[in-house]
Amino acid sequence: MSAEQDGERDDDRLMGRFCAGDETAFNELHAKYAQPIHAFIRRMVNQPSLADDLLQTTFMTVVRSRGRYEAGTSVRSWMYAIAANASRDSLRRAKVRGFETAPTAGNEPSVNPPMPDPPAARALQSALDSLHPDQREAVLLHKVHGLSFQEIAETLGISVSAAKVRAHRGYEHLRARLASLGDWT
Amino acid sequence: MNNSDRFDFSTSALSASAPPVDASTLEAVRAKALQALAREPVASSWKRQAATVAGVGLGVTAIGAVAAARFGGVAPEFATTRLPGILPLLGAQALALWAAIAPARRWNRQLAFTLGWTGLAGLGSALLIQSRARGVSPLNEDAAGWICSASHLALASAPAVVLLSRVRNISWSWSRALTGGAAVGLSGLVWGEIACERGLSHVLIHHFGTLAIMTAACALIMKRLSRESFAP
Repeated sequence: MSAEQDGERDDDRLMGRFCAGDETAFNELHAKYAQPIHAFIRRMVNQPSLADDLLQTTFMTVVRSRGRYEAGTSVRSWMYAIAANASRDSLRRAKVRGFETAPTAGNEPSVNPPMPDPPAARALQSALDSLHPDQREAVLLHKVHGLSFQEIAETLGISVSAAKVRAHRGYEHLRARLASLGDWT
Repeated sequence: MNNSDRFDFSTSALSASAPPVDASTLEAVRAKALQALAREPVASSWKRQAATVAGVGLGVTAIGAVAAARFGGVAPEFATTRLPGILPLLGAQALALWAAIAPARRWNRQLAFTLGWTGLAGLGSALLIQSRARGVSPLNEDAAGWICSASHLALASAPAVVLLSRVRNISWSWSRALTGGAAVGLSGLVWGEIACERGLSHVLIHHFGTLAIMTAACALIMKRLSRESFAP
């Protein structure tokens, strides 16, 4: 049995205890997933304070809607699905209101230190922002968070082939975009 | 460095440069979630929620349809003869409500979704054929057509409220919204099956038209609802 399968079984056991109201199990899940989920949301919405709010929304959803988790399914996919849904909803509402989600000068909270290698990070984030949110999700989940296409399909509620198509189109777009940015590395 | 190398380097950098998160933010998230957990220590299963919504929707539809038929002066014998058409409609409604609540990508949701829509399409076609066969019936002929539309909307509004109160805790999707909207719209068709005996054009305009309006309205309201949680 692989380490990944062991991890999923551990997660499933933790979810079982958490669903029965065990705080310790919730703390373990929070310790394991809060950081990577925050990173995912931050990349999705590209606004630190909004990412903090959406992390809170994600974990409140995990608590309130834990009855919608089904034993035996991937806890990691379920949590990323909630984060992806919350991010997508936020992006959609921002678009409806005509707001840009990209940070503007002055709205970066001081508590978050700058990302490593700012020029490269900025170029990457700029390229990511130019992707359609569906493609951005697939690229981030696959490349950055290491989910398999099967897990991405479960997370996004799509078929495995659709997950592959979204990621592939995202990579193509990123490749073209980064090539046009010049020698920023 | 060629484009391909640069791309590989870029995506590696993407993995390495995870945006940091402040420890106090993580702690605040944990503390607030634990408070919510303390308020509601035992989770409520989605199956119970789905069964509740389907049951309440079904009950409200049945009670409303019977009451409307009774106060509308329809003879019980007449309503009884329509039971073979009404019971499958109620079944399709229960399946569709279940599908609107069940978690995404679950096999039983897919099944309920498929059966609900197949039932709606099949029964809808049967109702249209039946109404065409009877042509223009003398029953209820004096009543204005809009009365049927208004009654249809009024009857569908009760299960709509029940559904809308539940879907605030579920992530939005078009399939979920349209299925839920069609399910609550079916309430009016049940009433129409009991109390209305008019021809094809009336059924098309005042019942199926109202069903379509109800489906679209419910889906759009669901889309615009501010959500409390985003579980799939």
